[in-house]
Amino acid sequence: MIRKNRLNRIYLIAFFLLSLGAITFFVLRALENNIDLYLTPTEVKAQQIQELEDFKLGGMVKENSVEMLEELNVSFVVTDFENEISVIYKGVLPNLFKENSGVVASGFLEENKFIAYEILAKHDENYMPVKLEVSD
Amino acid sequence: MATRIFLVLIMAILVLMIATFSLSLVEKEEIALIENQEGKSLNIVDDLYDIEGNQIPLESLLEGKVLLNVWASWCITCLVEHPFLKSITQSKDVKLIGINYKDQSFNAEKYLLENGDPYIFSIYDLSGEFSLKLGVTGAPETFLLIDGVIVSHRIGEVNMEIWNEKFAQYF
Amino acid sequence: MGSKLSYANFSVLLIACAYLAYQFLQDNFSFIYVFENSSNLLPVFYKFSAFWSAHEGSFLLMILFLSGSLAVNNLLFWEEKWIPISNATIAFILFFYLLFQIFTSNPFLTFDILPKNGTDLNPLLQDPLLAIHPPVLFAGYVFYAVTFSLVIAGLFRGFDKELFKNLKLWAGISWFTLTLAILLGSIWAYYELGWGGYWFWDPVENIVLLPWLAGTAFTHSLIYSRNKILLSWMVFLGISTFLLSILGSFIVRSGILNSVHSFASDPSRGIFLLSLFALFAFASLGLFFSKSVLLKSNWPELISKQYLLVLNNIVLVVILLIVFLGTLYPIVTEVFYNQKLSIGPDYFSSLITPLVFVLIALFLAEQFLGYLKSNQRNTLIISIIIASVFLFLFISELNPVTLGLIFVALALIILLLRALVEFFSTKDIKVMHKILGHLSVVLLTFSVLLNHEFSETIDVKLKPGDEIEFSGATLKLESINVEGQANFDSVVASFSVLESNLKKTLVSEKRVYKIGGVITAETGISSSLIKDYHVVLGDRYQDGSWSIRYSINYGIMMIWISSILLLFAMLYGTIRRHGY
Repeated sequence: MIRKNRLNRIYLIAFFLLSLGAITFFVLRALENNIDLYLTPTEVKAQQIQELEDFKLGGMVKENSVEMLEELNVSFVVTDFENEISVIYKGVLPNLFKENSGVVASGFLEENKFIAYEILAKHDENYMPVKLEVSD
Repeated sequence: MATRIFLVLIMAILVLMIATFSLSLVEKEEIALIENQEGKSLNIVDDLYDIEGNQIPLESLLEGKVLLNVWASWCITCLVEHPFLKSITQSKDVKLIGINYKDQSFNAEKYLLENGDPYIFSIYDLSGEFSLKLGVTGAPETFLLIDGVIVSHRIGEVNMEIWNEKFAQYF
Repeated sequence: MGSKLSYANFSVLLIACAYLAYQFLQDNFSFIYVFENSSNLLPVFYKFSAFWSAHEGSFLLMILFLSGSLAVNNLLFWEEKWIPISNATIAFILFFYLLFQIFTSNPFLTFDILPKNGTDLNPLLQDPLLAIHPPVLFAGYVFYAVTFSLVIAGLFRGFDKELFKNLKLWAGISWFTLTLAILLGSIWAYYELGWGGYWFWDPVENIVLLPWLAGTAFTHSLIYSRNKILLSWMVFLGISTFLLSILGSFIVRSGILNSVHSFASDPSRGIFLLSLFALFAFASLGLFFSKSVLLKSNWPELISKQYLLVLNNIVLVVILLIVFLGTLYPIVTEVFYNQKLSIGPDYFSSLITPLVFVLIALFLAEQFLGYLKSNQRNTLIISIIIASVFLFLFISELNPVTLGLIFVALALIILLLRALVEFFSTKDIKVMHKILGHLSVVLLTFSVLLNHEFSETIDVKLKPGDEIEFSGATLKLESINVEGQANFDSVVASFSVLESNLKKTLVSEKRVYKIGGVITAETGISSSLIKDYHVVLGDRYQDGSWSIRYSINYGIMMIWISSILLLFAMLYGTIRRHGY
């Protein structure tokens, strides 16, 4: 009986190690394929991002920069109050998208413009602009 | 034996995790370092407008003692210091000018209507660009300018105690 | 005496909460928390729900729940021998939560002045579903603190039959509550956020999934550990579930992750919650290892129900690790390489989907366990045949999602037939909750795959009266009107969808809130069992046309229905053995 128990344990441990190896392999591969850089306009300017390379652009939509163009194209400017990048997107902007509020755009650079294929507006617990509380 | 290996493994993972999280918290805080702007002089390039959209003459900012107060209708601490600002304009000879920071104009007007308007006028700074050049990091902040030079800068609420410490000496 | 104290603790907290709620109902804006989250234009229901709309109030509510469960425990189980340790553990947690509340998130701070109006409740939260989502989520977290305390009690007093009964009860309640919270969040994301989906693999969502996965494994582990099989593993899962729920609140509140759902973050809260996590983690795991000698455990027999349950646990923990790594990896790269990253949803779906199939295969194997046991050689042959068939299909050009759909549909049919045969031959179904729960998980998987594979979206520009043909149905923008409400004005667009002579009307809305000028939109949705028509109103163009996002989403109703069935199964499985 003891022997059988031990055999079971060996099976289980072997199975466990084997699946651990397999999982690590698949996890690393999937991570490699699905990493998007998440950059602010300043970081985009600082790092030489290759054209057509996918990444996510995060920042605020600049005041008075949203323009409706032909054929559902929209252009706007994403800013982090230091640098800005103009973004072109074809499609309907999400409900929560508005000027002076956070946005995450997925896309790539082409001729210094960011061509977005997905726009997600951040939704916030407090929708007021961020305030810095200083207590000194 | 197996238990001991498991123990070491789990504890090591935990320590690593907690260390990483602490590091991520530390780096967050460094960004929030705030600079005091005292000693710098005011340098205005763009045209300025008040909340109603009237252009502001630059001389009004550059001549004499000017108290610049950054406020917004969404800012709660501003509401707290508001009564003190009103009392200071009544008791002292001070030119109080507001900077309405990242605010909607109709909200700003309503705020002044409801809580009183101690400002001679308020510079309308929707984008925050003017404030950024001034070195503002949030609202409220208060600057004392003498002939266009920042002599005193308060980040945060102004009350009687702060007033005595930072501003009273100039009056 | 102890039980009386726990009632007193609960009553005092209840009074504190009632006092805060009263300030909300009275529009007392001299309370900073009320000022920030309410306004006098707000409907009464939302004035009340504004209580837990931000961090301070929701944490207070969570403490109230924890204290409430402590009181309930004392009321029902005062005679049990585990109660002193459980009480001490909960009191310990309660103490640190209260410290956290008082020093970093006090909702009772006031102004010296009385503002005339508040800054209004976030319009996104002005939705009945989201009004109840946070309390349910917190309740789920809190109930796992109770299971944690029972597990700790077991470490000291030994795991007897009574303790297992109560562990099962609390584990079931927490599991049910957390599942309900996740479902409510999903429903809200689909109907209110208007992103067209119900799950985005966003860090904040994943963080809630972590304790849920651990809790799922934990609930299953209770079944075999009662027979002293891998008891220490069950204890470890119980502890992890609780630790993951604290870790979740730390990560959400410290704002160290880039998420599309952002919350007010405050470094001091982050530091406090991290220290709390460290304290509980080291204390409970230290205790676990020092007592592990007591938890003498056996390994289950090969090809037995217990063995399958252990396999199920392993798969669930692997899924947990995948989500954990994918969610926290960006933090690691940011700290060590100063590189901000985000992990795409494909990472999660590509890794987790096959594992879900493995789970379904395990349910199926469990159904035919008797047969498998008696014919071990046949079992091996059958599984090799099945594996090679799938390998062959996988290598062939067949779309893997279609393959998955076929597999899940087969599993669904087999499970259903098994249940029906059992019902008609014995006029009764043994362990009904298990069959129903597993059936609904299979149905859920099927619907998710269906949704993933067939849903379509198009962005168009329409004027009132215009029509567009898409995917076999005609969408027409009937009219656009402007309406006024108490605290918002809205643009209301009516659409009609015509498919094979069946006409459906959809109303999509865009609201402008009077305080703060915030704009939100209500999505127009017309649902049937198989597919949803989903319309989001975009922006107005100069020529009077509007941009519109029009989607046809498959299987959404089935996702909700199967989740609700799952909830029923969980609830029934939890309470069936208890008179209360």
